[in-house]
Amino acid sequence: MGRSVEVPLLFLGPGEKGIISRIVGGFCARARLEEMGLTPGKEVELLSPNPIIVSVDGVRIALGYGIASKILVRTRRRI
Amino acid sequence: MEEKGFIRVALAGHPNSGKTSVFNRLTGSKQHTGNWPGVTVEKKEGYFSYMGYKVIVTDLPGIYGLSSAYSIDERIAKTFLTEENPDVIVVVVDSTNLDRNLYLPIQLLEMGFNLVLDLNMIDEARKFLKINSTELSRILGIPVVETAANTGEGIEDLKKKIIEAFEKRRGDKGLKIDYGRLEDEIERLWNLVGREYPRWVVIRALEEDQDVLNMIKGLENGAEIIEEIKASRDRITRKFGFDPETIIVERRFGYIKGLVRRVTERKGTEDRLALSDKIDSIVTNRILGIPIFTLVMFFTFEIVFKLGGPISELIDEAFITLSGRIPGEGPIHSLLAEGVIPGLRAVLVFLPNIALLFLVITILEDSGYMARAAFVMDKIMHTMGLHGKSSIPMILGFGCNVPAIMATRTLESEKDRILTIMVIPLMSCSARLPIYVLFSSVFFPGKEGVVLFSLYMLGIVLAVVVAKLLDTLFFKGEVAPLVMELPPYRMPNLRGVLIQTWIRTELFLRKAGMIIFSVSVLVWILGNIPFGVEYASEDSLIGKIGKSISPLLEPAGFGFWQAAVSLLFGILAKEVVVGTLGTLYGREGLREAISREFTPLSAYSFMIMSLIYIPCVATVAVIRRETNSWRWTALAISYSLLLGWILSVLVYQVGSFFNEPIN
Ligand SMILES: Nc1nc2c(ncn2[C@@H]2O[C@H](COP(=O)(O)OP(=O)(O)O)[C@@H](O)[C@H]2O)c(=O)[nH]1
Repeated sequence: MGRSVEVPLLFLGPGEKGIISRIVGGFCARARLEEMGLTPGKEVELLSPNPIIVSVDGVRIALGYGIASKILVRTRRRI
Repeated sequence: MEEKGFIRVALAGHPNSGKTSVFNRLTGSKQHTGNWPGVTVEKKEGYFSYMGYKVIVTDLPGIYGLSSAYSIDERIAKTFLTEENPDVIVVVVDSTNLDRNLYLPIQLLEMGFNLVLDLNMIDEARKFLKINSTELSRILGIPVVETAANTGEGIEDLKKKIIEAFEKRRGDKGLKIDYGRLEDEIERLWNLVGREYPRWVVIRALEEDQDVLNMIKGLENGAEIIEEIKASRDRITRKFGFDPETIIVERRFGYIKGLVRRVTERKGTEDRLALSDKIDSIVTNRILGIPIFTLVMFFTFEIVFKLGGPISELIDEAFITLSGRIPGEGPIHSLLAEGVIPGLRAVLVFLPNIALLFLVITILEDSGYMARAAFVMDKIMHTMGLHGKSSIPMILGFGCNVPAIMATRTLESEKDRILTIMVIPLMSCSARLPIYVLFSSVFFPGKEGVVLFSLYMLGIVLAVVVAKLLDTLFFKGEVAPLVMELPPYRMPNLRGVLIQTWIRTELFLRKAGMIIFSVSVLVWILGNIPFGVEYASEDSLIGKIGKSISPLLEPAGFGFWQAAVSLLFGILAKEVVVGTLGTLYGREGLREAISREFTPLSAYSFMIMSLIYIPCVATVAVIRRETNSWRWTALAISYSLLLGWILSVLVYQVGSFFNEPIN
């Protein structure tokens, strides 16, 4: 078992899962992300790191790097 | 039958929920398209008659909710819903994913709208899910319908439920969601605002809905309440570690989760996604993505232009025969043979290409590939300040600018759409090819390929520069970050595809056709004034115009009236440039004439001019139609004219400067 760390979604490995902890910055796309279901508490799985595709609630969402660096997720890591 | 009256219905739903299919099923061909006021987003309206009512359906843009102010689509939808106040809103949801899709209807229900919930894609949902829609209808207090828009199942029922919702209008109390730890603050603020306002006003205020905040500002002690709301937001953020928007959205999703658990039962698992993910791992692959995209574009081209070409030629020939067969002579004959028929011809020769293009695009959209293509190309297009989706119309522009501009319909953001439309004319369309072929074979024999390539590249480079420039000039600060749902791959539904193709093609015929046709007739008139001159000769009005503008072309190296007239006619259609030169130099043969009149340098500058100057009327017409603005149209015409002139002059002058010492 590793310990829980908070990292930008960008840094998840392929197939790695994390729980969204927060979306940083008061930037304008946040409302959109939240409506699309990317809210704190949701589990996301990184399907493809480059380009970024995540799975949330069984749908696939493509994200740009800018935005993926602002979504923070908690994940278990062995450090 | 006697009409009982009108019912105004708005159709809302996520992108890819099947909204378009539902809309097409409801209204059939009784629809028309326009633009939302002030913006370049497509607005579709249609109607159907049912049980004595005439039901007018407005298709709202695909949206996820009403909170995101940066999304133009959500602004449009919200403005329409609050200002036009439709009688019924049908929310189309993808029932294979209720957890996400119910967010929009729940948000609308909270605001007290009169809803019908359409559980679409029910055919797919049934494979792994049992939905108790009666129970769902009972809990939410609204009619719920199950549909499969691809086959038409449930559409009759939907119509019935729309009437039902209209006749027993729900009270506008709104759905009450328990916001848990926010309830105390909500209660307090509600008392301040006044209990006579619905509760959602307070919730929306906490979510920083600007419209609601403005409304509150206008209240008697508005300024005070606004301060209180701010204080309340700060308290919540400090206390719970999240701002109120986030907590509210989370609670809504929480409510939905509970709701879905109550009304659904899973049976088995879906395997649809596994396959879809597998396809994605190839199609969006970092290395394969772009080659696959290139291949898809290549085939699109082949289909649209190779398959459409022969049909276009047949149409063209039919028109040539037709104009040759017009009996009689005199002005009526001439108007028909030289004005009306070529005008119709200019419209109809595009038809096969356009219909095929829409067919392919619709298939690409419906299958789910379009979203991937946009995603794959996003990084490259970003360097131009454009969205990945713009790449498809731009590439199609190499075939013909007209369908390419129509293809920008698939772009959601106004900025992307306008920028793309503005630079598409720089993509050298196939109609300009004959000019390049003629001139490069006369002046650069053996090097035609290099010349051609240089012209295409010039167009692309200019597109990058112009897009960047327009972006910084007109759209400062508007950045649309990439967040895009990738719908699962689907087999496109033949009937749906055909309907959609037909609707789009017909629109082209009706709207662009009118303009193309009128300009053709106008040019004919100019070519025949004053009365009795030889058509389009030196003495005709158009010849005179050519003469008067030719001095302007002098610095570019082709300051003779024939060049000017052929370029003028080229505005009609770029194919016409070579043909016009042919007519004007009729007696001595075209190749000899141009090798006498032009030098290699002025020939190259003429080709640059042909590449860049004013898009043809058909293109101008669709630019006007698609941007819904004379200002953008005027800008497209003027920047291309100016840019074409500057570059051809530059090339000619710089070239002459370096040439002279050698001679
Ligand atoms: N299986 C199934 N497919 C559907 C249904 N409704 C729409 N589709 C398909 O889903 C895709 C997207 O539909 P469309 O109407 O374009 O969605 P929109 O983006 O919401 O307008 C198309 O391929 C449709 O044929 C349905 O009820 N069942």
